[in-house]
Amino acid sequence: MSASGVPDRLLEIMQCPACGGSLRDVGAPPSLVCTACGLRYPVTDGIPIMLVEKATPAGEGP
Amino acid sequence: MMDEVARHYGDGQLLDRILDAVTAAGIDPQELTVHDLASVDEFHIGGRRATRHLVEGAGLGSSRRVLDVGSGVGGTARYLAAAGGHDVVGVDLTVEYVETAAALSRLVGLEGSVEFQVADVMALPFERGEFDAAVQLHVGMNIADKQAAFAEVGRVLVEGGVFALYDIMGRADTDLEFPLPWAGGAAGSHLATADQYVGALEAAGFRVERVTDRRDFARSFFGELRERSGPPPSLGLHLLMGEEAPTRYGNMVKAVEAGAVAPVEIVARRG
Repeated sequence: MSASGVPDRLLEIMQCPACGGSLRDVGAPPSLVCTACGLRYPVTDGIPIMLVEKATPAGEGP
Repeated sequence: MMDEVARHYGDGQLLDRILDAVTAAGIDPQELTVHDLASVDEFHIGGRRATRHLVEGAGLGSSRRVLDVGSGVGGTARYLAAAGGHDVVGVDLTVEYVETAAALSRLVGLEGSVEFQVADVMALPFERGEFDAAVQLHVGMNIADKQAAFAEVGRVLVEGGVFALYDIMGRADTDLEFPLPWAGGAAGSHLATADQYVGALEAAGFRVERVTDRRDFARSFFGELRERSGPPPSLGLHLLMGEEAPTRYGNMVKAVEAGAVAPVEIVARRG
């Protein structure tokens, strides 16, 4: 299991829905962060919320 | 459109309602099976029978990874994992459905073969060509730009990957009585005819292999529901649609029986 709680085999096939960039798995707060555009997608109880509208832009708090 | 769709379908206590109903039906939630949930976790017309017809006809057999677009509370995904041995990823816009799908899958011991996430079919969070097949059941009625959605599904499929869909179809200008199961009013409803679906699929790079009108199946399914005597089963669609369920469902039955709309299967392959 990854730091965010998203299963590794799922992480392997995922990308940023906004720009297609690869995702970095983050544990605190549980989230997936795009290495290209910086958008942070929250992960709640292991469930990634992969909506661009619900993501936090780079540089803003969690 | 996205928030509207999510709001239409979510209300906050869904898992509790399902588990209460499971208990009321005399089933220990700790011993719940995929079969026990069949009456509630697949809420397209015809339920599990319709799912089986779609996936068997589409020949999903050898597909390993399957994407379920608009997976709801996960019934179809669990069926595909349990009956077909597929690895399934389900996406849905409604957070509560996704949470419920994950919780029910854990309860029936399928957490290793089904995964769920909140995502929009218009911008899927997956790399190109990661899925061998995709399914979509009663989802297109909430999608305005079907060609763009199909192109996104095509992007994440392997070349030759099969896309099996089962939607309620009809003319966009059909005079319908609302609320319907997929929309409270005309603004949230995006009907298209089977011909328009085929056009959108082809424009999105698919070869359409088969179009099957399921109106007769739907009519006989509704007939069976009417003939069932006694009180409504404790596990039923009211759990998902709330107090308006009979009105919503009734309006849909009327529209199907009047010939205004019909459930249709389409099987296409990524060219």
